[in-house]
Amino acid sequence: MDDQPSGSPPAQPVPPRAPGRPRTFACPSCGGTVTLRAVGQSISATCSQCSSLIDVADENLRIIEAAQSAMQDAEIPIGARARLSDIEWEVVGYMRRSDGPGDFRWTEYLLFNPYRGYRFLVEEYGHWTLVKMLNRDVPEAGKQGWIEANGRSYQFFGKGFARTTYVAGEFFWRASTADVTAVTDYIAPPYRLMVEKNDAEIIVSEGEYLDARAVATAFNTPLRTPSSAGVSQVNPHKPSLMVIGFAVIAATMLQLTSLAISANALVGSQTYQLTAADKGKTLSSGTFRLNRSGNIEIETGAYLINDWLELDMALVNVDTNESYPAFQSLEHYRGTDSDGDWEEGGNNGTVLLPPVPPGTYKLLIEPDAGLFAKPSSPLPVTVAIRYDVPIWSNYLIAMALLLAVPAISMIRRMMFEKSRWEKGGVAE
Amino acid sequence: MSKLQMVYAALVVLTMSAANFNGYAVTAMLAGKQAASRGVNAYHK
Amino acid sequence: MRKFACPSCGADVTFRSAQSVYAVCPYCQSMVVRGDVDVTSIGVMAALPEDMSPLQLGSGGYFEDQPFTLIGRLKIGWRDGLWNEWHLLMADGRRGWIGEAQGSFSVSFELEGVLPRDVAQTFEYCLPLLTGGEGADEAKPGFLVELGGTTLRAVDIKLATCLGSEGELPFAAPKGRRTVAVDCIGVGGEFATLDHDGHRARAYVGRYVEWDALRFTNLRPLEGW
Repeated sequence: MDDQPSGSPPAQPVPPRAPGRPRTFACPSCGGTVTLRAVGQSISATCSQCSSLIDVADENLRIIEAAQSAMQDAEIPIGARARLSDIEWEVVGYMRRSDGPGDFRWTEYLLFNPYRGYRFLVEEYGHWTLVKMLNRDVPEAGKQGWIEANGRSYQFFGKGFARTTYVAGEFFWRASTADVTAVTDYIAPPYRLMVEKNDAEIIVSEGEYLDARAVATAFNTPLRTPSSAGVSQVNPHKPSLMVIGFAVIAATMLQLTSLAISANALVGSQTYQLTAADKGKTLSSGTFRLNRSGNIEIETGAYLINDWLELDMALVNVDTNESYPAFQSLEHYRGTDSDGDWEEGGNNGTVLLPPVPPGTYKLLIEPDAGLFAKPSSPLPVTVAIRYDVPIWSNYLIAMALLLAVPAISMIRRMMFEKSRWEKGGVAE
Repeated sequence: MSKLQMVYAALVVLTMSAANFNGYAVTAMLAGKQAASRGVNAYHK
Repeated sequence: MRKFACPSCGADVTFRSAQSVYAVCPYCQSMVVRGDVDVTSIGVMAALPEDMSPLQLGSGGYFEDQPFTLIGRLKIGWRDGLWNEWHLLMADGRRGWIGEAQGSFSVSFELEGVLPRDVAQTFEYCLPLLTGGEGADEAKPGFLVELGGTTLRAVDIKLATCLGSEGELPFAAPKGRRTVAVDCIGVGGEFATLDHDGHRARAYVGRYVEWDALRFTNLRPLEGW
């Protein structure tokens, strides 16, 4: 208690000044200019020329720390003003801080408004947080886990040390580059709770994440783009189920409608007994009439045993001779190897033709098969022709394309959280 | 982002319904002619 | 409201509150103490240290929907800073305090009646601070105090020195008056300060209030703001 503020009147008479204006005096170390903006509240200030840190609590102007190493400029200069959260703030000081090992660095700007007091504007890797000291008791401060503070549920984020490595401007406490505090961080994006603890006190502050572009606009100065995830940044990747959900419902309704209105009519079915004699021949189905335009599906069934079948087909309009080609291949093999029984291929296949105009049609088939090359019993092949069949594949593709949107967004969301939490944890 | 999603979702649904109601299958249009394999695959031997 | 002629310069010295016993003459800065019938001067108050406070004597405001006026002020200094204690007079005659420190405002009223045991206990630990000694180990902040039905945590304990006063106050506050002050906060923004001037302990209980909620009027103009 030896350094009580004396509060004695200044040694030299000061001309009366309007309250509100910054006050200047000469640095006791180099004679350079020291500016005080928060007159009567600032306790320490740095010299703009030699960067010495001066105790300005009273008129004795004691040097706390002679010339700090190198002057370091900040992105936002001291004296700059900006409206943030609808309040005008003036930058009166800034501190460079880092964690224990010095891997993680950030800058804290001290903002002042004579009516609203102080805020800290914290910048870490391009992410900005506006921090206010919380005049609230937080009984669980320091605990790892979930805690309640100022009406919010906060999740433990990380714990470590904060060292002040450089100070410039003025502060309402005795700033020093010797300051080390234990910091515990909690998040409830966009809010963040910081508990700073040293031997003398516990300070709890609450911050709110600010958009870097908004800060740049407010200070009318270009700022670097934030890299990776901000500690209390709200995860920007939010699967919007609204749009996609609506699209899925619409697609499903449309699919059901198209199922309901499709004729799905069997317009011809014929079984051919294929033998080696049919090689090179063209088989023909009976004619059938289509009254409306529609697609055609040809279903082929053949009982194949270790054999293959290829049908080179053409749907021919008997009136116009317009021809629509189709090709169907079938193969079916089975056997036993070191892994046991195996089976490949199958006995059935379908081929879908795009819609054809109304008219009378027949199907011409040129078959080829493995059995044509060897003597064997006839192979029965059934060819059925369906008209105006419903289609499922379009719907399935549409579903996959639609659901990919929330899926991608979910993955990006998880990656963002991963990047956020990489900055957290407990530093020993 | 949301606008982009809306355009994308609308495009997907409209393409699907256009194909469906006209009788086209996107898969069938993309599938090429595929020959049957003429014998047992080597790895089963 | 009562008016007295300043014993030093003859100007009007007003006591708006019957409970005020001390005032600083706005013209000659004489410190005037009110007796039963008359006033006496106990010296001259030096100029208050400059600050950026937007408040001034005569500023009005609202607390819990009731108007108040600022009638006095103490400028307090401690090892690591300065703050203002504004004395306020509510429309219903109650008198309270606005603590203005680093732009945060606490409104509190003196706790009437016998002080809780917690307070006496606290001062037993802290009183050595007044005479330049060290507080007991128990006097480290962090302990809980039960006041006016709420539990508060003591967050700092400091030796406060009056750097000057103006307006009217319920006690004489010459420069150099020392108190031990213990600030306490609650979970929901409750605020209390316990202080002891070496003769008696007082407890003030209230809460932190946001600038906007106080709806101040007649503020001191600040150039550039």
